[in-house]
Amino acid sequence: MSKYIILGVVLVGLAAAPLTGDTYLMRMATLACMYAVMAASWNLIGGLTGYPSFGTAAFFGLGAYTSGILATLDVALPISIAVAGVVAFVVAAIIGFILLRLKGHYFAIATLACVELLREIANSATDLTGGGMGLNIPRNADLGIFAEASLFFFAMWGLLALTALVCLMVERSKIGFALACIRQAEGAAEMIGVNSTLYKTLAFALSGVFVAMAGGVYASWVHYIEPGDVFDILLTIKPVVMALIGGVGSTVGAIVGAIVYIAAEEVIWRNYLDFSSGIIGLTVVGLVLFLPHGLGSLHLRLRGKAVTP
Amino acid sequence: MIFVQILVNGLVLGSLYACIAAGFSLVWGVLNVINLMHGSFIVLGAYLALGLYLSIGLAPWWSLAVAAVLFFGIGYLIQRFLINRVIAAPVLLSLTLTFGLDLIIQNAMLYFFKADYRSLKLDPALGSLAFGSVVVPVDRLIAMIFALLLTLALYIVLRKSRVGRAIVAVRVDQGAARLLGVNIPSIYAIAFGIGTAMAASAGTLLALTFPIAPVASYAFLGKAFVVCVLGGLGSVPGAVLGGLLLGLVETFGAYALGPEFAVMLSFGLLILFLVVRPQGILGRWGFE
Amino acid sequence: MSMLELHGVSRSFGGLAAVDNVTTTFEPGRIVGLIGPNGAGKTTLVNLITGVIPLSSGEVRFNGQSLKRIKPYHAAHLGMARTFQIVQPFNQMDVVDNVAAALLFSQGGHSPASARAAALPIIERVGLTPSAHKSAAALTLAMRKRLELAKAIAIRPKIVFLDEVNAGLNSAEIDQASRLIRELADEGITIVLIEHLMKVVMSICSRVIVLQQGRLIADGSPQDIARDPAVIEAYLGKKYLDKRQGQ
Repeated sequence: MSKYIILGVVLVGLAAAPLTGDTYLMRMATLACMYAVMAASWNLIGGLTGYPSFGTAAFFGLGAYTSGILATLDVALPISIAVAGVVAFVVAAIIGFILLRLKGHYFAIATLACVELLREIANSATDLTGGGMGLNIPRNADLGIFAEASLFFFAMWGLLALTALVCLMVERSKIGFALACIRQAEGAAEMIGVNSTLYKTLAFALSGVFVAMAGGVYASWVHYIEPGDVFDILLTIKPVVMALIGGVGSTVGAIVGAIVYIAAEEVIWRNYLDFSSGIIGLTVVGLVLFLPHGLGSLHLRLRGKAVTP
Repeated sequence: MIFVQILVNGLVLGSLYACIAAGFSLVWGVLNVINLMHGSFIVLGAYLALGLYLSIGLAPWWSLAVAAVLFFGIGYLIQRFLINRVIAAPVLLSLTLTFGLDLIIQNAMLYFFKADYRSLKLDPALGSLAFGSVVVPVDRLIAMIFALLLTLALYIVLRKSRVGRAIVAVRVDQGAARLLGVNIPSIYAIAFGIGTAMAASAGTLLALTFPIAPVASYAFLGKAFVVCVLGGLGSVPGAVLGGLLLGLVETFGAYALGPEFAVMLSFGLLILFLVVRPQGILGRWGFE
Repeated sequence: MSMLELHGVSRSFGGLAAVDNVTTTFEPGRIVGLIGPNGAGKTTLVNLITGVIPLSSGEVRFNGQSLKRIKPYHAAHLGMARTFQIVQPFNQMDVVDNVAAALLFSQGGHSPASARAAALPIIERVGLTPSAHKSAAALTLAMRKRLELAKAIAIRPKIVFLDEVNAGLNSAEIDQASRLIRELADEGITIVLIEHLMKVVMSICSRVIVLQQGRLIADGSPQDIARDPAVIEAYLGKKYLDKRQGQ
């Protein structure tokens, strides 16, 4: 029960950003929503199913380019984003079907290689994507700055609400049960009738849909994308760290983790620009060594208690 | 005759790739840890070579020895006190840990060395050697020879020395090794130290061939991945085979399709092998 | 037509035949012992039947239906259950959820909630009710084995393969397990027992199959098997057999 309350508080809190009229704060909030979508999505395959995917950036870039290209063809934003989601679902299902037979490190690298491969393809398919020169996405000139900022904030926020809803439904449903069985003992799960290939692939496909849609919103938001931006390794790693902060395996944890990370990153970046990546690195190291079960386990750790996974 | 030139280029490049990957493969195969700092250690080795050459005129192949000793120690300490704490945890944690550590190293490199590319130009320049119509720059040739010697040295250490054989034993069957009295954490630290030493040493050689900047570490890391998957984990012959194969594929691919496809080709090959033959050409199916 | 038929079932790894041309049938309600020296291919045979690994050649027929390249989850849906030598419970779940999972995924018509409710009688049957809400990781070995059995029962199997279900159990626990097995057989379920403990094999099995180096070398009542020269040789060696035969 309490996780729904936390989620409600988070969503309401974020929605208050436009009320301040501060476009900078809104930008931060939009980014927080975007990363929250990515972290919660990663949690489906990495946390619930136990397959450590490093492919988040592949879906993000795929969505950004799919939606961006459609936008240059005068397709309306909601449609281009929806199409990006569908494309990502299909592509992820196909990739997943092939790669999910790998486990652990091999799976991680294979998904990482997909990011690299897609980036190179985007770089080379100049006619379609603009290649290394990037893709310009038309903006709606009628909108003022504040209106535009609000539009994209609510687009991301709405996407976050949708993602959270779907992820929580998965957690509670038969699908979530199956994923938990697969994560804990895949062989035993198969022997009691779990079609693990089906469920894994579904989880992987779902983990790609909302990330791609977030990429689509991002592309229209920033008006210009390059392969290196949207197929960036950091886009794949940050959601993982965010899920770790919130406690791997929890949708709400991933969302909270994303917000904590974005807020912390902003503070560090403002005050210690030269050392920002180093400080983030230090935090990640500290997290892994001392709080691998997320901030939620802090109170247990401080009292010297054991943390059950 | 251009075929032979490309072949030679591919083999030279491949030898360097083999050297880059050998240490990475060892750590992955023995500890089941993917060391995301590997690329950064290569770059640090290159900076060390550059620094020693500019300050005291020490040629890169001699600073190799300095790099090896220094970075063995660094790697040993990192494994003993940091990585060892997550060695039994899910792979996600060791991946994230080495990633975090790499961020710190990257930041430090950017701060101290700045982001611009540097190269090590030997003065007096060594020129090139010609064998018929095939031309090979002398510095690359020397780098290749030392790379192969270094890789051979690793192979000999693993086969002949007591420590080396303990490392191989741990890789093959940890439980049995422990029963025979092998101190596993100590072996892990030594193996990791060797991996780091190999990386930095490879870096000193690479300084002659590739431009150095902090960001170059990702490219080297990527190569190391591909070589390991192609050749098989934890085996030096595997790294050599994988490295040579990658070098040849890239040079022939660049010639046939254009240089921008070389990177795509290497990642496509990676995925292909992961799906079809994850254990690589030589390696037996290692850890998951 | 028998419930389970094996025709020339074989599996090789590299050049080595792990299971070699095994042909036999299984009838409902029997308790069959599957014995043989270490490495004889007993677990491999079960893996072949339940779809964990594919056959190199031969055929498996279940209720007249030929099983070509089935996956383990499909075997569960058809009514084949098996336990593992090294128990694999879902460690982060409690006993109820473990059994509920088996109910939920082996047959249709359940939701997670209804499966949890339906799990309770099964848990009662194997005597785990006091521990129903304990995490599987907190159970003793004997209790974990009973949990495995509960999950196998939840599948509503027609045949159950028990792989070394008595390993690590004490005398009382073994008797308890044997009683449960006999009850299941009385309900018409075929039980195939991979077992090293001859005491158990002799007491509850009505039929014993012996594998050696992948081949079926004997098939009969426990008493016949105990006297079969081929079996004695397989276990104790030719020298012993020769001595016994007064060579």
